[in-house]
Amino acid sequence: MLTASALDVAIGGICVCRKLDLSLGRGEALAILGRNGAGKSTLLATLAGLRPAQGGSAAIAGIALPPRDGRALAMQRGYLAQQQHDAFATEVLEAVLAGRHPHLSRWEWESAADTDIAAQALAEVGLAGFGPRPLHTLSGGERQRVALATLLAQQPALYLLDEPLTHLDLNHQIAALEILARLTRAGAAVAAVLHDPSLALRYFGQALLLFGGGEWLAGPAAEVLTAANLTRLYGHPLRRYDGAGHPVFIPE
Amino acid sequence: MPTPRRALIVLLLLLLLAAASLLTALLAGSYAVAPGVVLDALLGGGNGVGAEVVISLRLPRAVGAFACGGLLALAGALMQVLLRNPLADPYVLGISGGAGVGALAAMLLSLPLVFIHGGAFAGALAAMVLVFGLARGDASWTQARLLLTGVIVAAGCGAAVALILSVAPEHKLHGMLFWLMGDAGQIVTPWPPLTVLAIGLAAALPFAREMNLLARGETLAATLGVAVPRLRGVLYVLASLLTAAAVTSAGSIGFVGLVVPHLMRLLLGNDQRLLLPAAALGGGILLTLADTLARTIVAPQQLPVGVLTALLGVPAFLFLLTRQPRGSA
Repeated sequence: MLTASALDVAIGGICVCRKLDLSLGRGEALAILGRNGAGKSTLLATLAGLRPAQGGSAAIAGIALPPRDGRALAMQRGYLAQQQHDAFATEVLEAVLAGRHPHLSRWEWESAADTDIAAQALAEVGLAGFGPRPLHTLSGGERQRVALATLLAQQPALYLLDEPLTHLDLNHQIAALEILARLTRAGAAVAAVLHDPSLALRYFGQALLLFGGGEWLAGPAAEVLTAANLTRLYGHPLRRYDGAGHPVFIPE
Repeated sequence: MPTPRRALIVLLLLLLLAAASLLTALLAGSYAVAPGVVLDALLGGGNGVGAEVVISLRLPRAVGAFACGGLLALAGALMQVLLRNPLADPYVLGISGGAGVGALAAMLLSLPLVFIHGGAFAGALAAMVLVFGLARGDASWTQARLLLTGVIVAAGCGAAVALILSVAPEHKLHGMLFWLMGDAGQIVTPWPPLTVLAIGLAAALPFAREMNLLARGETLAATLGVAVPRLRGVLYVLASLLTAAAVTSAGSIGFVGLVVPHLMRLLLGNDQRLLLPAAALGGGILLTLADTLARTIVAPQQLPVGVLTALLGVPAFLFLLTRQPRGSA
């Protein structure tokens, strides 16, 4: 679904990753971790085809990045950006219906089926009945869930999410991760930038660590997400605790 | 979100209002013309002074004012999406400033009317090309850079206009001020602005849904497959040409381009598929009515129509704004 080979990504003179090789198939989930400023978002935007790489190549479902036809790519991959500022008032349902854009031809209007998909996406993120609400009357966490619903309404095969858990309460963090797990089981590919290595280990099969300066480490989450690697990643000692059902990493 | 059906009904209602505003403009004036005579004249029949006044004086001016109002409101709606800024109006990027310099220079040199229109159009195009070139300079073409470049060019044009005004002989000042405030009386023929309005609307509507996404955010639009740089280029060129056409015909009439898109947004929501044609019609209606008032309330004296658009638009806008639940504008 998503492949990168010998990918070089840099921003503002800072090297994010050098010669990154990555392959994410259907039914696989990848967590991307790194320190603030390591370039997680930059890498994800590059993998989404939204900014050019400095070297190497990447492709989504056979479409080379950056794409020539943005709409064809938008049928395959969805991208949840970090929170954006709204200049104009919008209704929640209207915002979620934006996800249907690539599915509609130029003169087509959203059909009842599209509205159903959007309403269902809202229900999935626990915002059933929020459709007519003005978007700006929602809290930060609710807006984040509206953004997630917009992504769900897009129904891509590859989901790229930049910090999907920001502003979310614990219960909604787990709910969001459960949605991603369900999508993965249904055959989608998921890659997400996360801050919590414990949740990454619990919900994601693969992990990519960005150490800064272009260095990276990727592989099965169980092998990559070790106390030693994470201690090096965050520059702070971490200890792993087992026995609570799921292993957790605690900063010393 | 409007359905196609609701959009059609709203637009039909606005068309009716537009027809009513044009009829009002044909009926009103210091020379009384009976409604029957107006209808006869419109249908090609009728002669005499009444029919003559309607067909060769009031009709071109009313239709021209309608077209210019539509142009300005449409251009304003496009600019607001392009800059993602509710405060943007057709003049924010210096188009009217450039046109003002061109037109006033022609007036200063006592050139005939056609040169005043030509100068306005050339000045508007020069400002458009200048801002476009400078804003694209580093290929980033960001909203902030575009806005900043436009505002600076507009400020430069404003200084040039002030310079011309200060050196102009006394007897030309009145005409220059009227031009600057906007005056539908200078409309020679309504066809150029009307044609540009029709073409502009037809060119903008295919991009309306993409504009909805751009209004919500550049990244979101790009993510969902919108070719953002191309769309912004289309918006910039369209909005600039529409503004240039309006300013060339009737001077820089203020307020229509800022307030009509907002009025329509408050009434109808922010779906560009409905908003763009509704703003075009709404702008036309507002300017037709304002111009009719401008030439009748203190007849035979005429007021600059820009004053009337503001006097009509401000209370209407404030009324709608206060009627809305807090903070939803």
